[in-house]
Amino acid sequence: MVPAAKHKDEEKRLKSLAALNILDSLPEKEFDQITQLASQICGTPIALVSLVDKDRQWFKAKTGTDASQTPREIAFCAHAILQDDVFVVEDATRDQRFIDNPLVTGEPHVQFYAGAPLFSPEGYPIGTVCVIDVMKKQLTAKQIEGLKILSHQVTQLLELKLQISKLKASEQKLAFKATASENITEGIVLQDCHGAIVDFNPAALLVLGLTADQLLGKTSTDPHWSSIREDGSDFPGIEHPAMICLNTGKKQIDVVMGIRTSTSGIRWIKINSVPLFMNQPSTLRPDYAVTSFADVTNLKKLESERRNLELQLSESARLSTLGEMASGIAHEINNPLAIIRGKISILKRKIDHRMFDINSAINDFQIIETTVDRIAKIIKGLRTYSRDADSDSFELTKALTIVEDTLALCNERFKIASIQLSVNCDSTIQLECKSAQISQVLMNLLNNSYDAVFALENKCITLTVKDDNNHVAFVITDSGSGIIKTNLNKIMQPFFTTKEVGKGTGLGLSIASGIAQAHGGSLTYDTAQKMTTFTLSLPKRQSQKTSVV
Amino acid sequence: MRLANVSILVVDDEPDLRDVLMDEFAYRGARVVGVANGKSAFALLQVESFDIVFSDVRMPGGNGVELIRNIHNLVEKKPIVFLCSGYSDLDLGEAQKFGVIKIFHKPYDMTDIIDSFLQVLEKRAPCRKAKG
Repeated sequence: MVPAAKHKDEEKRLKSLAALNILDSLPEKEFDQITQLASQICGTPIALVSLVDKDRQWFKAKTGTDASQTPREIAFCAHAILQDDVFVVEDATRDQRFIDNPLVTGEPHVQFYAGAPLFSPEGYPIGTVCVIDVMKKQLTAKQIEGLKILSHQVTQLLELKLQISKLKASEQKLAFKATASENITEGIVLQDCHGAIVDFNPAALLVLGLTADQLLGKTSTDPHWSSIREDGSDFPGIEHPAMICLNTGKKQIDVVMGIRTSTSGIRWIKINSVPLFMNQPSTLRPDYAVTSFADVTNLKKLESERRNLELQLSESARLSTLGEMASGIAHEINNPLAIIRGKISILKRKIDHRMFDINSAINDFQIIETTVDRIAKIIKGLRTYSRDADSDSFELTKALTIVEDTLALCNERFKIASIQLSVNCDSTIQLECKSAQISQVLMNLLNNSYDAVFALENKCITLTVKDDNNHVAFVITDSGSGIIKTNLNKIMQPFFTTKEVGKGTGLGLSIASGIAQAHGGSLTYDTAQKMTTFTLSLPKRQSQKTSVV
Repeated sequence: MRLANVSILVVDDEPDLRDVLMDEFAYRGARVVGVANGKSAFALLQVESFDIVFSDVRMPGGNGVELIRNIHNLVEKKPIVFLCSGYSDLDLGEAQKFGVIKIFHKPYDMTDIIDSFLQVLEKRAPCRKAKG
């Protein structure tokens, strides 16, 4: 007996057979019928659809036998797959290759065999349609042809089955995606290359407040849409993210649009639109735009409420600090008042007693005037400090003016506590800023320094203003103990404070930091310095329109 | 000359205010000396006696509160102490423990001050009557 040689690409062949998922599958009518036909055409009692595996041949379908598989070494089909044509053995008892084959010498006593190879979709011979007889035989050319056709049919069948199972798998995936799109809260809309809406999910109708009839076929430029931008200006249809996506082929992300609903409200949606290219390269216009959007109306409301709260908080913080400074401020004003009153009383008395001396009177008037200015400065400082300057415009201001305004309010407080406050600011340094806010930041930093050195032996605070090319730096140092390491990353957080309850809201630095950032600058704590050092760095120029003070 | 023969030490770090006070007291006949802070005031009190100390409360270099405490501990030549404050919320209770008679609030009323001076001086030394 001569067993068949292995196929030259046996590994690949076996792989492609395995991919068909046919081995050990249940019998199927289509295949059974093929064997019945083969048996009829060739006039043989036995016909098989056989698949040649690694160590066996396995029968997908059979007529005239109950066997389901045999070892490969004795398989006639193993020879058949080595050639393209039908493999015929007219008399096995006379063929050296099969004379002592157990299938010949024993059951089922094969004497005649003819097998037409069948192929996997990749083109490997994976088995046969074969016919077997117990006596020697010859087939006509037509019968051989018929056998070939049948094997061809089986090849087709196998390929179709494979396609169907692949389709089923993607159907499942699609079913999941379809369910997802039906149920998510984000709206999805499919628009064709002209912008007409061709498909959408249920959420799209809900978010837009429309019926399917109203939505289908509409384009983004349809006059029915009435939408606005975040700043309230008109949002023309041609600029809708889907249209821009279709016109540029580029995806549009996070575009916020306000839609006027029928109930005279505005619904805000956040839109993403991506282009869909079906068969073209991406240089041409997309075939579709897939647009998804979420209702962010609530978010926007919360955002604006949060903004209001922030403003209120910042006002509270300012007023609370103001409260702390109140007694110092009262003193600041009462002293000058006492001086003015006193001088006037003395002048009146001198006039009464005709002891009026012009020169000393002029001096006294000067003192009165200066003292009045002093009070005016304090009031100005108070007004600056307690005002909500958030809606101010950026104005070109001298740094020195800001410093003086700030000091007018807190100078006295520092003097009383015997704190050495030294100030260094060149009068030429200018910057575009909301000066009231900067004054508030400086006040906050100075107050913090005040608290830090108040109870110490060495009470030193310095305020230096530096010209840093295109930035201005306000550097405040104090001789206090500084910020401990573990608090370093918390100090700018709202409500963080190391002060006892009732003393300080903990909002100061976070608000100050916010003001710095709104100016495009920064508020930083320098850990490398010996003295506790905070630096407020602000750009000299603001990109928005500014006015000159 | 309501304050004739009365000696007053004025303590206030605001030069203009000190000048005004000294002028007002001197005009009424008092012998007035002015210093800028509590330390200087106490140093002076060691070597010179005054009937009245009229002091501001908050001053760098030793404020009024320290001063009154120190004066309180003086055994001899103790002056009468009046405080003058820019704070509207300073209360007399604490200060009284240290012998402060009255606290005036800025901007003060000069007539009120003089009257109070005379009242206390009268109580202390009835024979020391000054002409009104």
